[in-house]
Amino acid sequence: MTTRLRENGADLTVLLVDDDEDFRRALAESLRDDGHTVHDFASPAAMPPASTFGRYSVMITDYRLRPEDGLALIERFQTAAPGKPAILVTSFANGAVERALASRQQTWLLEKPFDYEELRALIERVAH
Amino acid sequence: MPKKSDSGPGRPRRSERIRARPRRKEPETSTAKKGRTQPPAPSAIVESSGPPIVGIGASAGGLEALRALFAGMPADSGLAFVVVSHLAPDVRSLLAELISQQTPMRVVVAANGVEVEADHVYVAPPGRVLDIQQTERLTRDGTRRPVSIALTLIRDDRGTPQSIATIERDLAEARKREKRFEALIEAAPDAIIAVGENGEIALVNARAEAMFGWSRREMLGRPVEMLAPARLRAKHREHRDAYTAAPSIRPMGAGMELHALRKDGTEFPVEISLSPLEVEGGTVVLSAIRDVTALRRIEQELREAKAQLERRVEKGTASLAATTRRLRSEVDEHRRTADALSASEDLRLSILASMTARMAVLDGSGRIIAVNPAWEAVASSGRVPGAGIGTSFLDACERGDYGPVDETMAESMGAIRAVLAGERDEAMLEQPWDGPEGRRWFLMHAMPLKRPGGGLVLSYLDVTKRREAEAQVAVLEKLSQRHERLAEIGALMARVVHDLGNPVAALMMQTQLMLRRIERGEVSPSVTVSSARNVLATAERLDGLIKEFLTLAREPKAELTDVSLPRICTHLLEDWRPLAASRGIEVTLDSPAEFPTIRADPAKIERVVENVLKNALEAIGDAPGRVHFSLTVPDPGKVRIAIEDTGQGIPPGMDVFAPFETTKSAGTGLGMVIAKQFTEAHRGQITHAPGPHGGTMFTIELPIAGP
Repeated sequence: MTTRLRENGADLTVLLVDDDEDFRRALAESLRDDGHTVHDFASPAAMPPASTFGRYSVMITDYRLRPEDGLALIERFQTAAPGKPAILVTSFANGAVERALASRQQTWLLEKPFDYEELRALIERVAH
Repeated sequence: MPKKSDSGPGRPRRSERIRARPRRKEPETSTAKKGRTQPPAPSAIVESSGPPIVGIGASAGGLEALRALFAGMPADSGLAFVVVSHLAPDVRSLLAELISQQTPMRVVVAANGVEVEADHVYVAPPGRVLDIQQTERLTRDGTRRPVSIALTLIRDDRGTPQSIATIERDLAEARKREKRFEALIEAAPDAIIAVGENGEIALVNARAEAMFGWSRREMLGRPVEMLAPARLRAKHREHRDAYTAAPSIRPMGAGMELHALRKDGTEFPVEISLSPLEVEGGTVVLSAIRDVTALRRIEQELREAKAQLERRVEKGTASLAATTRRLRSEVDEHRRTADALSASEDLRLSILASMTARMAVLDGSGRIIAVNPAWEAVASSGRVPGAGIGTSFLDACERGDYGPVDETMAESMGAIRAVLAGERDEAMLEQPWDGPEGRRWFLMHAMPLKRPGGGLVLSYLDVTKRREAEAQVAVLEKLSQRHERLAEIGALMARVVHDLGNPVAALMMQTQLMLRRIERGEVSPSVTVSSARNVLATAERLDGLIKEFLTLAREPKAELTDVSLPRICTHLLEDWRPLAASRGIEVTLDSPAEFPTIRADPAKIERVVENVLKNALEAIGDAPGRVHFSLTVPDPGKVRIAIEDTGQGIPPGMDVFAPFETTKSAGTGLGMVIAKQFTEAHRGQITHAPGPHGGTMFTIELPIAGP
């Protein structure tokens, strides 16, 4: 896959976690097409160790994951990489999830299905 | 009990014999005493055996003779002389003087009651009777007897004295009486003290001596107050004066505690009774004194004993009261129990009478021998006269008296016969009864009578309401099942809509990416084909999701045929083996040569097995592994398919049969839901457990006979 520099010179390193293969592949391919580096994983268990979290610009994660859910994952990510933005993408958004996210700095929620343009705009806003 | 005192009055003490001892007064002391005491002590108690008296009477001319007589009379003759003359009163003292010139004897002008002493001359006052008391007469036989002598002048009409009369009284009887009186007093059990009007003690008895510790001599002539405690003496004097003014026989100090004083200064309680006694020379008061120390002590002891007894009685009464109360409460308790029992009997009777159940008692031959009001009411409204009593109930049933003889009636009659014959312990069944209010249902209950001759109690309880309620419940249950199903479908819908999010989002991104590339002019056949395949795959997944949802939502309707499980499994394995092999997964089947066919819907059974297989393959993932099928017949009625994988296993607490519970990255999350639904539609069971080789083993059991 060729890496292209976009006009604004964005070249983010994205940590992507989602157990839906179709969705993950489509999202990863779209992000790469925008010139970002994407490391994608089907489950938290498959993720690299926390010591590597610091090199990512942003984390995008599903909510419904096992064994730990997206919120726990975000907490783990931001503990290892303080101040780094994290985006929760889910079709299971509910009040509890929204409140949990609202209580954290640098976190955003995006509901599936979404327009990729939305995500692109969000990433460029929060990761720069 | 109070201790008995030796000196207690309750125990008579032997009196000392009191010696009746005549007191012979010494002339000296008598004289000395006379000077002190006025009036003289009552003669009644002053005993004197005085000297012989010589009485001489003389007229005016007898003076010379008197002078000559006394001149020649020795002064120590031992005689007493009493001279009575008729001289005028004014010469009285002269006579005494004239006589005294002739004799050394003492010449006294006598007064009434004077004591006569020997060697004295007593000159009577003129015009008076001289009463000489208690002297003695020397009788001819030489004995002496006590007498009193009164000497008086006898005058003529003109008042001229004519002679002297001597009146002599024999005192022997009086003296005897006195002695008896004194002996009586001495012997009295009480202390006796006589007190004169002047308050002096005139007489005491031996008992008084013993009681007060004073001797007779020490007490006589002294104020009686010496025997009273100092603090009471003034009061005693007042009381004594008052008593003397109005004497009567009475106890002293009625209602008062009286105390007396002993010589040794100790006090003791006494009871005193007073009685006045008229004697010559005045009134004396006799006091009978009783030491009541012992009595008081006994009274005190009695009081204490009484108090103690009262306390004991009180205590006893209290405990008696407690006992009574306890008994009373027990009685009440029993009464309540009895009341309750009788109430419950009444209750039972009234329950029997008011029972809406129709009841009849049949004897061993099936004849009705007793019925309750409910039975009677129904029987009399129908065509059974006299409630059927005395007739055979079963015969009446057969005649149709109790309704048409249909299947339930026949069954009911059979049951009654069986109970009557002792073949059944009891019988119960529900049967309809078409009455004027329409069809009603009754619970028939036949219970044998445990008595010689047998028989049974037959009851018909109207259970129409219960049956109606049951029917309502059944309707409600159906409704509720439908509601549950609708709710389930609603929940599924929501989940499906949610789950559509991923593939739809994927589709959108895939197409947007394709568009962006095309816009950029990056169009190459390989890239486009690859993108299009991704789009197609996602679309197919969406399609599968929707189809499965439809399958679930549709009412499962089984089309039953004879199904061979080995054949279905073999076909499935053939279909899936290439894909499994591409991931390094081995799929095997262990099936007996002879295997029973089952009644089932082959398409649905195939779906069940396929879903479990797909689940197993997905659980193993891309790693090499194995899925093993084995078909067995665990018991003659059913068959079993066990599907074991070497996958990651099912996390504890996860319900694989709930919609969208999945650990897998692919799949709809509905496969196992469908498998369970279809299995249960065949009245089968699907379960899972950890497999022997680390993964999971699903077990599907289906009845051979079908649903």
